[in-house]
Amino acid sequence: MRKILIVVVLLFLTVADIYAQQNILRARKSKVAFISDAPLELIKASSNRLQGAIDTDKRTFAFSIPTDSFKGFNSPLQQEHFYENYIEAKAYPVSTFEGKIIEQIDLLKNGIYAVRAKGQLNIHGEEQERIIKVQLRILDGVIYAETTFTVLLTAHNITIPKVVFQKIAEEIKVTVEVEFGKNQE
Amino acid sequence: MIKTLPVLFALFLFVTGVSGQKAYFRSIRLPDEIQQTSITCLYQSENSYMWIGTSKGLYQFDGNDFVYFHGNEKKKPLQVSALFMTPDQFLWIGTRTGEIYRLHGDSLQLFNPEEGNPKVAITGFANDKSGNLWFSTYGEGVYYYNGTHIYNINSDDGLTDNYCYTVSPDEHGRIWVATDGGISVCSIESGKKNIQKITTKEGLPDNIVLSFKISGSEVWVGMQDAGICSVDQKTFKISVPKASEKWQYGPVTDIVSGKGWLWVSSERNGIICIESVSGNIIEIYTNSDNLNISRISHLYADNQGNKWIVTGSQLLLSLGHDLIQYTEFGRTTGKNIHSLLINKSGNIWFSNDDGLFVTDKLNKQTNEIRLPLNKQTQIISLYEDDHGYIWAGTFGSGLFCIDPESKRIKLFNESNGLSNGNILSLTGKGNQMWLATLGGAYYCTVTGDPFVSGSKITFINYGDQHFSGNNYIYSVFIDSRNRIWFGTDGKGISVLENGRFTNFDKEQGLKSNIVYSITEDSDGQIWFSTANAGIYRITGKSLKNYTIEDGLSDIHITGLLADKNHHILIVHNNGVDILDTHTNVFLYFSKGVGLSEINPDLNVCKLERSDVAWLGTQNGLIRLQIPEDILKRQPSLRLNKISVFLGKENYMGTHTFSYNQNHISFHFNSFWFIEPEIVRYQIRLKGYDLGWIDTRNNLATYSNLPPGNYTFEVRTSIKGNFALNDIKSYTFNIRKPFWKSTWFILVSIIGIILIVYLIILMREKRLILRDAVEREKIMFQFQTLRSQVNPHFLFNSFSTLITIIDEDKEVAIDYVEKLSLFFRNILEYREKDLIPVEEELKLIDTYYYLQKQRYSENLQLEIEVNKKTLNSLIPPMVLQMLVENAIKHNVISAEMPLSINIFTSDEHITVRNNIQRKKDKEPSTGIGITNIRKRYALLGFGDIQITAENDQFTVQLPLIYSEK
Repeated sequence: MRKILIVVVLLFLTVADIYAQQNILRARKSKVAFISDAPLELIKASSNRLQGAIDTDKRTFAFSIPTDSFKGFNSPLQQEHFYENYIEAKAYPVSTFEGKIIEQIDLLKNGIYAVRAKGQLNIHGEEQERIIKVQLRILDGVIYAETTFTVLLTAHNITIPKVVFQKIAEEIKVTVEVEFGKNQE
Repeated sequence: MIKTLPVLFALFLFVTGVSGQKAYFRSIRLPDEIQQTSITCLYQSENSYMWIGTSKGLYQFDGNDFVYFHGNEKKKPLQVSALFMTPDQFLWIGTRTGEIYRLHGDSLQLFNPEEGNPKVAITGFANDKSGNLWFSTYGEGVYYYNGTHIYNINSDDGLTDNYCYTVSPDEHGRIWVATDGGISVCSIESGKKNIQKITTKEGLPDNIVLSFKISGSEVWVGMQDAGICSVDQKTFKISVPKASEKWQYGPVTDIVSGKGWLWVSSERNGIICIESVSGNIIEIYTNSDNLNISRISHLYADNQGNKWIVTGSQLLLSLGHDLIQYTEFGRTTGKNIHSLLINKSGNIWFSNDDGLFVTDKLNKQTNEIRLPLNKQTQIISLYEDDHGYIWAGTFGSGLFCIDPESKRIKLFNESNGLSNGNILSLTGKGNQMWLATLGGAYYCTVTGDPFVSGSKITFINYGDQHFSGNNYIYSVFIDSRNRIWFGTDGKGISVLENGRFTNFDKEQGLKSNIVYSITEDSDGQIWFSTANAGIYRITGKSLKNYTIEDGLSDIHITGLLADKNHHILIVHNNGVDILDTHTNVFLYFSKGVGLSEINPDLNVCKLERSDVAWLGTQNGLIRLQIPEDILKRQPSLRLNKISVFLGKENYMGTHTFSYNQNHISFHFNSFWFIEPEIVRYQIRLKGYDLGWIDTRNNLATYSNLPPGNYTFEVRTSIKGNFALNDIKSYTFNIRKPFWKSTWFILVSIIGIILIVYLIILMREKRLILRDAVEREKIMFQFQTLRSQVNPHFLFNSFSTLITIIDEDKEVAIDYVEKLSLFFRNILEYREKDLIPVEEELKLIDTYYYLQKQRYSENLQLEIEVNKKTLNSLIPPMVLQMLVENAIKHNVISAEMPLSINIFTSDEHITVRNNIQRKKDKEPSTGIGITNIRKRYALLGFGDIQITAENDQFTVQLPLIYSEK
């Protein structure tokens, strides 16, 4: 499943590239950050290696992020735990989100829109359907997207040993900022 | 036996026209603010409130009052588009703009999930079997909420369309979604969306589905253009009723069901009533009287069998097809009916002032049956025999037998042995008939077909000898055990059993001897009504009476009917009481449902089947369906609010009230939407009221209750017997004011005792102190006297005087005057506790003058006193005593002069002298200083300080300032 997804995402991107379709916008700048605010420990990390694209005609989208791209942990030990014990980056190298925007808006028209993205969120190899509220700012063919959502660890089959239960929050807050455009800047 | 010469007539049938039937609608007066607004949805919550959503906000209706709920803080009205209450008592409010609100108690909150609210109108809510809350939208498909997250199902997931009109849960807990593209049956199986489609492909007559009515194992589906159809929940088999075959009434907005019938609301043509078994249209209700009911936007069934109808900005209430009025029968009317019969084929036979009529069940055609009678003679009783012949009893002109098939009529009168032609009541069994007349009862046997020659009909009269001398028989009734019952005018009720008459009258306890109607219930018990003493039940030989106290609404009873479900229908002037003979519970219907002005004629009421009654009223004939569970419809009572001093706050849950909250109001409401004005309450405050108090008010206030425990109780009834209805109660306690509580009284007593004890103690102390001061003063006086009358002082003074007399007479006189002044002062001051410093200084002056004469320049006294301190106080004679001490203990000579200084600071006065002790020390009594110190201590004005250093002897005394 995981592999298929990667293939799908890559295919989507390559196909988009090959045909250089008018209606495909690609992520050219991104920042994905998460916070786990547990009683005993605050874990923060971020990545700027989100890849993705939006089809402005169909209002569909696909995103993918390498799970081992997160940096900025409090300590190397924390980072190691994150990669090896929780997200299991070797087994599940990417997290993805793909789907469609519910609102029927024109993604080429300038303006600020609050939309909801409905899609499949795949983290830790576990797929969940989600609706994610996104703030879109569209300016001359460039889309700036911003969102904050929560990820329930149990929903993605990420188990936390009881010993460190107090150190990892059950709900992880994720913030994403992406800029989409036609060409790479 | 009288030879019968039957008079034979040909039957004359006159077509008078088609009869019109209509349902009864009661209009509900809406608040002024929404009279011009359209009602967008109706919903009844489990606690019986009706919720009315409008484009100008949400209203709660309890049958009497509307309560308005505004939207957000800006008080912008909610544009309500859907309503639903979840089991946790949250009312979910969907709006036209997509926001969802939740109302719990009085608090209205925006539902704000992480996923955001839809952007399009919410059209419906439903709960599935797993407790997910589903809501349909107009443009975004459906959503479901599992308590944490919201998930969406739209056409991408396989939903038939994103434009959804409503959602409904079926028997299996699945959700049926009505969309523009057909029906989607959705369920969530272990997190997976499962959607089954029913569209035109599957045989649905129309893809645009607007409404559902789940009914047993089927779902009735209301469509845009194709009327209604039913879909089997398991097989999805679609059946189209005949009614929908040539549907021309427009979009079906809602479907509600009654027993055996469906009401379908159409957007163009009012309400279409469909028989659910045959699928035929029974009737179409459009504009009636002054009600415009052509465009029905909503139809809703509540938990009391009422149907709510929204048409334009009107809100109407109806019993639906359970109560139908027949006012017009072609040329004649359904008013002033004298006799009524529903024959086996369902045709309605009735007589009025215009004559005798029959209305065909199927084509609703009414025909007049013209009998050979003069205009004034009326048909007052009707009976159908086993052959299907109709027997009509007249008032004065004998008995007719009518064969509806062969259209023949025969008249029987005196010539046939029927000597009294006033036939009030007519009944029979097999080939026997019983007639109640003004000339006794007649037993009639028919041998053979009365219309075939050779048949024989005989009348046997049972006259007054059988009825205790009474000839007027109002009614006759044959029961299931073939006993014949006769209701008489003045002699009670008689029964003929095995050839013997038995009579029940005043001797058996009957309160009225005039018996109008007799019936037998489904348990074989006989019931009869009397002129003014209510109804009676006969069990064996005993009579049980039911009157107003037992729940009867009226005692002017004109008819009794018994159905097969142990109900007795009691027809009276103002409506109908329905009595459950098993539970003795009554239900009352009157003008609120369209039942009023019942015919004054006796027994103008008949059963069509076991559960359908026909009644004659001034509004026409009424057909009333009596569902098996009709007695379950009782007003539901709710204790809503407890307020203190009629304030806004709700004290429900508070069971203890303090003495200053002693003005408690209980707000309760009984939900009986169809006729809220006939609801009554009984209230009682246990511990205060002695018995139940009747009231129509839904508020009870108690004030100034004595402290203690109380239980407030309220019960409700739609007239009559409260005893069988539930009681809502609330126990509370009024606390004593704190000054009446035991602990306060105890503490107060202890406090008072303590204070008194302290006062006594202090007084004692003061007395002891005063004694001590007194004693000290006496000692001082004694001491001063002794010291001042010190012989040395006197001797010295006198020898000084002797010297002066010789030298200067004038001075001598002065000296003696001063001496006497000094002694007078001493005598004067010794009585006082304190004297001003000024006076003491005067005394010192006098004393110094006296001593100066002796020691001349060898004794120096300097006084430097701040003027401010002159008014301060010191004990008398202290300064003098100190000066005297200084003179007494020190050498005073030209070589060694003694200098004494008296000076003051703000707080003190000080006496200082240089020390030059006498060698032959005058024995010191030591009393002087000690005495001064004691006096200061006793007076409580601080300490005196004595120092002897650097050859200086200093005594510092505190100054006392009187507190003015």
